[in-house]
Order: sequence, then C-alpha cells, then structure tokens
Amino acid sequence: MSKKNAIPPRFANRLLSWFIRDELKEEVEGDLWERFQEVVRTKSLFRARMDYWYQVLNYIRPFALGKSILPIDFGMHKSHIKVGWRNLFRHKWNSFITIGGLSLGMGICLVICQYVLFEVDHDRFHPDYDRIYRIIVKEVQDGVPSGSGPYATYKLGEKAREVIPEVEQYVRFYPSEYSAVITNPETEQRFNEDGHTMAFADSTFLRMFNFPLKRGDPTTALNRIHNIVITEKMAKKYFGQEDPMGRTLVVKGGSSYGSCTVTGVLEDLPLNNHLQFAFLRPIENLWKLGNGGSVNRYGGWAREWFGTYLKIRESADITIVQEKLDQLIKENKLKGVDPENVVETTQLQPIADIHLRSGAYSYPDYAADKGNLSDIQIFVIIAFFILFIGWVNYINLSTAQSMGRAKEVGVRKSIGALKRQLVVQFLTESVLVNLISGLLAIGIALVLLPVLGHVIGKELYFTVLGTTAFWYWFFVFILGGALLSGLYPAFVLSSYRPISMLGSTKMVRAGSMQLRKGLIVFQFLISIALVSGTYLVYKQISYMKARELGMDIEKMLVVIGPKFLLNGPKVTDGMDMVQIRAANAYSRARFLAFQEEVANHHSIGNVTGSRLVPGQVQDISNVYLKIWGAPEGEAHQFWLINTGMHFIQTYGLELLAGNTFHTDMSDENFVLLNEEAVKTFGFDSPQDAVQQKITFGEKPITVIGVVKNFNWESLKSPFMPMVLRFDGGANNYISFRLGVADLEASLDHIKSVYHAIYPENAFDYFFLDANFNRQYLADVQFGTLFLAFSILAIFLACIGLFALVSYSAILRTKEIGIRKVHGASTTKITVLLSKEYLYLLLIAITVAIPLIGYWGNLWLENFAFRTNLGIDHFLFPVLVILIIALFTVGHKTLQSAQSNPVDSLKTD
Amino acid sequence: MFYKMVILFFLAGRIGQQMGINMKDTRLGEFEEIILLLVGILEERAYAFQIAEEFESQTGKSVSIGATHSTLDRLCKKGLLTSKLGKPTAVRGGRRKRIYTISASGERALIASRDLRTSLWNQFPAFSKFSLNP
Repeated sequence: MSKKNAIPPRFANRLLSWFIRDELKEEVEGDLWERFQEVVRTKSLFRARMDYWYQVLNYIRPFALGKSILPIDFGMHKSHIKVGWRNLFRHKWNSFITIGGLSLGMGICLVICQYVLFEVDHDRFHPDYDRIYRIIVKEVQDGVPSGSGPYATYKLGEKAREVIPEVEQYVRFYPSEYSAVITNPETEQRFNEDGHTMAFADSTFLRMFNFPLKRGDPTTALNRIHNIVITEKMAKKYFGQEDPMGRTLVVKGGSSYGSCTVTGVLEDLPLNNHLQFAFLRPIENLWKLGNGGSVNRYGGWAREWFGTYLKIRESADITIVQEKLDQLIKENKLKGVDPENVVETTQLQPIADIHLRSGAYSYPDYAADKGNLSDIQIFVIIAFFILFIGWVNYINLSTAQSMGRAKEVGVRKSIGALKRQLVVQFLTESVLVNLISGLLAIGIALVLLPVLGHVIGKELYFTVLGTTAFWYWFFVFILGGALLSGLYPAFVLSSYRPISMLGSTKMVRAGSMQLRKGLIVFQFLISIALVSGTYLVYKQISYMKARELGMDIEKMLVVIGPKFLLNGPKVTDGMDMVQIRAANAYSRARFLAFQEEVANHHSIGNVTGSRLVPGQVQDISNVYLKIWGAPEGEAHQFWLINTGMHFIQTYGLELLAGNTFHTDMSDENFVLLNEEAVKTFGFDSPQDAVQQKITFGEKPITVIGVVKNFNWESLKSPFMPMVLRFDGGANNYISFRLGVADLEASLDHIKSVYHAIYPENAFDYFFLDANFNRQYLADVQFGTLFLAFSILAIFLACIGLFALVSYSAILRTKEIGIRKVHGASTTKITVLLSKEYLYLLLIAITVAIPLIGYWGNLWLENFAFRTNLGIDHFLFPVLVILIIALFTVGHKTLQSAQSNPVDSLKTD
Repeated sequence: MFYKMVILFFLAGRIGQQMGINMKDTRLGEFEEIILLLVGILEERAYAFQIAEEFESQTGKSVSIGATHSTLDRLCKKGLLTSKLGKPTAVRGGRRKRIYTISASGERALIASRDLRTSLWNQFPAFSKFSLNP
C-alpha cells in the first residue's frame, strides 16, 4: 500500500464508531484522520497504525461514550461495588475464608485444566496434523481377530503414495529393537543408548512433522545414508559446548553399525509428542547397512515393523483410502512366506488420537508414555467437585452472614428498594468475590503447577494463560459461578420482610436450613470418600511392596550386557538364521569366558545371564506352544524368556519337581515351566510335566523341571504361564547376587572383567529392587494426588461447617442465655448444639459406606494381587472426619455455651 | 460482551481521574490553563487535533487527542469555551471540525489565574531582584 492513500486500521475504526457518542463522531473521526495522515507522512505506516489504535483507545472516556454503551444505571453499580467492598473489609475473617476457599478451589481447577489440556493436546503441533494418520494393521486368523499394531511392511507407505491419489505424503519410522553403544571417537566417550531412542526414518520425516532443527537443513539432513540427526540434549552429552555439526559418532551394536556424520541438531522434542527419540538416521541405513536386510530379500513386503504415517489430501474419504490400502496388502502378499490363513486389514488412526485413544495397540516403544483417558476423566470430575465445594461454601457463608446484613436490607427496603434491585446488589457482591478469587486462583495455580508436574514427573507450563480462549472462558466461568453461587443468598436476603428485621424480635430464619444442611452432607460425603480412597491407594501400594514375590530381588546387581563384540560375526539380515547362529555361537563363548572370570572373586555369589530381568514386560516374547504330538488347535499362549545357567539359583526360585539346567545340556532344547504353565498345558501335576516334550517350531524340546509361581511383573498382573528356556549365551542382562562384602570392591572387579572381555562397550548397572518397584510409580503418583485432594476437600468442608455452626449459634443466642439462666451446664449446651451436626455427619457416613465399598472394589480389580477392603477402610476415614468435624463444631459451640447469659439477654 | 468489558476496564481508570473535579469550580488546572491559552493562540485553527499538535510542539510533552478533547469538553461545560462546527476539508476525508473560542468568562479565568501567579511571584523575595515583573 502506498503512503498516499493509506487508511487507518479498519477494526479500530469500527470500535471507535461503536462506542463514540453520535454528536462527536464526525469531528473525532476527522481529527484522528488528520493525525493519521500526519504520522504517515512524518514517520511510517506501521507507526501511524499503532498511533491510531492508541488514539482510539484514549477516547474511551466518560464524556465521549454513547448512551447505549454505558451499562444501565452505572452510578448504582458503583454504589453496589462500594458497599460490597466495604462489606468484605468489615468481615475480614469471613472474607478471608470465603475468598481463600474459593480461590483454592479455582486454582486447583485451573491446574487440572492445564494438565488435561496438555494430555489432550498431544501431537497437535504438526502442520496439518488433522490430515496425518498412522496405519494400524489388524490381523484376522481363520476368522478370529489375532492382534493389531501400528506396524506395516516397508513398501506399503511408499507404494500407497504411488498408486493412491489421496495419499499426499508418507513417512516411515522405525525405532531400533536393539540397544547400542555410541562413541565420540575424538574423546573416546561412550554411552549405552536404549534401542527405543535410536530411530530410522524417511528423509521426509522432518518436513511432515514439526520438529524444528536448531542446526542443519531439514530438506537435506537425512538424505545421505551415513547422516545422523541428534537432539540438543545428545549434542551436549557427546560434544559438550563444541559444535556438533559435521562431527562423527560411531554406533556399535543395535540395528545398524557404523560411523555417522551429524548433519542436524533438533531442538529437544516437545513432551506432548508420541514420537520420542534421540537419534535419527535415514531408513535406507537400516536395510542397506544394518540388520534390516530382509527388505532386500523380500522386496520390502515381508511382515516387519515399520511405523507408517500418511498425510491424506483434504477432500479424501478415509474409509476409501483404507480399502485401497487393504487391496495393496492383498496384492502384495508373499506366497509361501506369509501364512495363508491370515487376512490383514488397515485402519487409519488420526495422529492426535494416538496418545489417549490407542488402547491395546499402543506399544510402549511407539508411545513412550501412553495417556490414560479414565485417569483424566477422574481428575476432571474431582476438579469440578472441588470448585463446587468452593461455591457451596460461598453460599453457606454469605447466608450465614445474613444476620448482620438484615438491618441494611430492612433499611433499604423501607426507603423503597425493590426486590430486583437488592438481588442485583447481592449479585454484584458475588461477582466481586468471584473475581477476586479468580485472580488469586491464577496466582495459586502458578505455584501449584510445578508441584503437580513434580508429582506426575512431567514438566508442565502454564500455556493457557497466553490464549484468548482461556480468558474468554475464565470470565464466563467467573460470571457463571458468581450467578450460581450468588443467586440463592441474593434471593434469601432480598425476600426478608422489612418489619421483621427492624423490629425488636429479630426472629429471622434465612432461607431453608435444609438446603444448606444438604450441601454440608454432600461436602462431607466427598471428603470421606476421598480420605478412604487415599487410604486404600496407600494400603495397596505398601501391600504390593511388602508381599513375597516368589523370588529374591534384594541385593541383586544387574549389569547391562555388551551391545556388540569386537571382531565378532555381523548380522546383515535379521531374518537369516545362518548369520544369526554364527553370531550367537561367538557371543556365547565370550559370555562363558566372562562368567568364569567374574565368578573368580570372593564377593560374587551367583551370576547368570538372561534376555530380560523381572519387571521388564514390554519386550517379552509371547509364543504359542503345544504338547509334542498334540493337534494344531491345542496351542496356548506363553511367555518365553531365555535364561542362563544359574538363573534359578541366582533368583532363588523354588524348584517343585525335576532339575535345573546343568552344564551338559545343549542350548535351546530344554525348558523349565512355572506352575501356571503346567496348568495351561494340562499336565496333572508338576511331577507329570517333567521330561514331557513340547513342540517348539518344528522340533521337540524337553521340560526338565517345574518352578513355583513367581511375580515376574508387578503385582498388578496375575501369574502368567511362563516358559524359561535354557540359553547359556543369553547376556542382554547379567544378574549378580552380591554377598555381604563391600559393594565398591565387587563393582570394581566386575567392571574390570567386563572391560577386559568386552572392549569398547559401556559399563552400566542398576539394582533390581529399585528398578522393580518403579513399576508402582504411577500408583504412588495417583495416591499423592488423592492425598492432596482429600486434604483440600476436608479443609473446604470444615469451612462450610464452621459457617453453618456460627450461623445457628447466633440464631440461638437467646435460647442459650435462657437455658443457662435456668441452670444448664456448659457441657450440656455444647452437646445440645453439636448434636444436630453429628446427625448430619451420620447421614454422610451412611451414604458414604456403600459408595466406598463399590468404588474401592472397582479400583482394586485393577490389581491381580490385592489387599482386602476391610472394616478399617470405613473406620479410618470416618474417624478422621469425625475428629476434625467435632473439633470445628466444638470450638464454636463451646464458645457460645461459655458466653455470659447477661450479655445475650439484656439487649432487648 | 467483550467490547463492554474492554470499555469498563478503561473507564475504571478514567473515572478515578475525574473523581476529584468539581464542575462548578472555575479555577484552572495547569493542563486546562495551557489548553485555554492554546485555543486563544490558534484562533481560527483551534480544533482538537491542532491543539494537541500545538501542545506537543510547545511543551515537548505528548498528549492524546482524546485527552485534549475531553478537557475541551469540560471547559465548554464550565462555560469557559464556546464552540461551533467549521467547514469540511479534504484533508479530513470531508469531515467537519469543531472550532473552539474563548468565552468572556474564559478570559476572566485566565486573567485571574495569571494575577494569582504574578502576585505570588512578587511575594517571593529571592526572585524579586531579577525584576521579573516590569
């Protein structure tokens, strides 16, 4: 736009002509226009526009406003605000309790809203996220659904882009199955890196997804086979303050060996993102250099594990795209390799649904922290309960105060105030209280959010504050809440008959006590339920931690096994058995040497290797097995875990029948069962199972013994039928049972042997009991939040109770006076006054008991091994609430009972 | 709803500013005095935009047209200024302007204000030797 015919901002003009008085419109517009032209001429168009806005906003002054803009009767509102404000200050303690309770409730509500928003907001930061889908493949075997997962073949996405016009773009993403050691060759620093963090992806990855690069060019970063893109955190870890671009990282082990050149540094990935990784390499690297060689062999249509994301064109019909994908799979089925009786169909899952709505097929390696929709729903419900309690308190307290206001209302009414005007007055006060609480709530939320983040182990930021939608809803809520909580007291107060308030009798009963009593019962119901819930959660957690596992994990040191063997044979095709056998044989020999060497020290009790250690379930193999010779249909599902020679002794498992593994056994031909597996196979007793043969693939393997059931997983899950297969070379994890000797010496010894046998590997270890108990982390977090909520609920409920007691004590001042004059003792009066609240509590308790029973049992059903819902779950919360409530009530009633009857009786 | 809130927000500040002003009092505030004088100086060109510009160039302080206009309006209500609508001009996109002139009581208020100051200056011994008062 040229400077000559520049026009002022249209929106500002609309605002101006909306509020300005009609008589002034012409001259003001003229003046502002002149000013605008002047600034355009002397400064810049931008400055002129900003100045125009400034001038317009500066016209919002009483003299310039049109009549229709000013709220009706503004002077009256001013008076209402003034009266409300004074009233707040007159009753400082009451106002403090009301506003404190309300703002606390609102603050909690805000924090939960932010958390829920964070959970709901996953994977929405990509451009056109609503058009990005993940392919889910569902298998149906002989007409029976046999599983589903976010895994497609290598070629499916590529081909779909070619032949399905609706598909605009595709990306394959492959998290490595195996962990590796990564070395910075310049500093010789090496670290073990978990397989899940080392991903392979198409070069389009950085363009389809919004992962901004701090260094490097997203269009070229992944276009050479030896390129590697790392996150900022990894750049710091391997290169410190130095510039990582163009430097070398050597990857040993994992899905692909070799040195790579850093061509990009990603900003650390956002937390609300299901694609979590730290290293990214081109997908070609996997099958040209790594163990994805089967892509070569079967032309990319063998069943493999490529997460595939498609960007679909805007107008496309998803069901049609799905049908076309199904057709593609059918056409490209590998004859003789893929089973004939399995039919695969696809489902396109919107990327924004992955975090919360993935259910069964969200494997941990694809969604590092799968969200829990029902947890979020529980939190939202609790948040609103707490907010509700806050409002209930306001209702209770403001009606309780009504005695003090009675005279004011009486005077107002007798000089001619209408009921409507009084309602408006009290609503104005309610708005005032809600607004102050709302603003305080934001402050409270700012303090509480990091606390919540700490409890749930996520970093949360108050992002909603920056959005206009938030402020809109904030005011809607404040005003709505003000109306809700203000209406009842407003109507009660304004409906007094003036004569009853100004006369000498003052026998006023403000509204129905029933409603307020009902609200108190409800508040205590919630408090009791929350306390009981907290108690139950803590009891279950301590039960799980204390229970015998059937194995001994204390003083168990686990060393992470070698990721690669120097000079060992390499596997270039993950499906080629010859290569795999050669590599395994070499690895086994090294491991035997390691065991022999390491056991040669007084501090080491037992040593064993295994593919996994207890507590790890996500990588466990699920296999279908049957008794040798049994018909096809009799296969059952088992957990298969490869374990080394001394596994039973090291872990202290109890042998029920047969023998453990011994040295003259050949690998992979002998197994141990647990009791559950004996049952699943249908053997009559552990003794019967020994020496039986089981079909494994094509050949029979022998059961040599049976162990007692033990808890491989947390006690949330029941015993699974397990098959422990003998594998002397299994060394993914090496477990040591340590003696009483000092830890330092043992560790030094193990470390030196490890480095001697496995050069260029990183030495990492952990203690199994700590690792195992980490499975209960989510439950502990759940318990902590519950505890916080229940303390808050009790606090708020007590405030409400206190208000009610104060109110009725004032009402009965005279009665107490008369009773005392007639000789009633302080104790008697205290009991008399407290009685009716005890009765309210009893109602709350009676209603709470079945609720606790129902919800408690429902929650306990999540756990396979659970504590009982005993009488203590009802007694404990009831006692807690009873004591706190009696203290609250007693404090006030005692005060009234001790008052001098002369004071209360002489006034009239 | 939203507009109304913006307006209320701004108004709260403005009302606070105006609370202290008694409409019947004809004594002048400093800003009022300067504005009144500028109206006299600018004669036929005395309308809100021009007055604001002149204020900025004479005092070096910036002022919004709205603030100027609000003061002009107040001075009119006090009877110190009169106003009439002028002719439309092209620079203003064809809109008319309101020209202000000082009324008789406006002149009286200015003279009273000047006299007060002069009398005060004269009573200030430290400055009398500079003979500021001819």
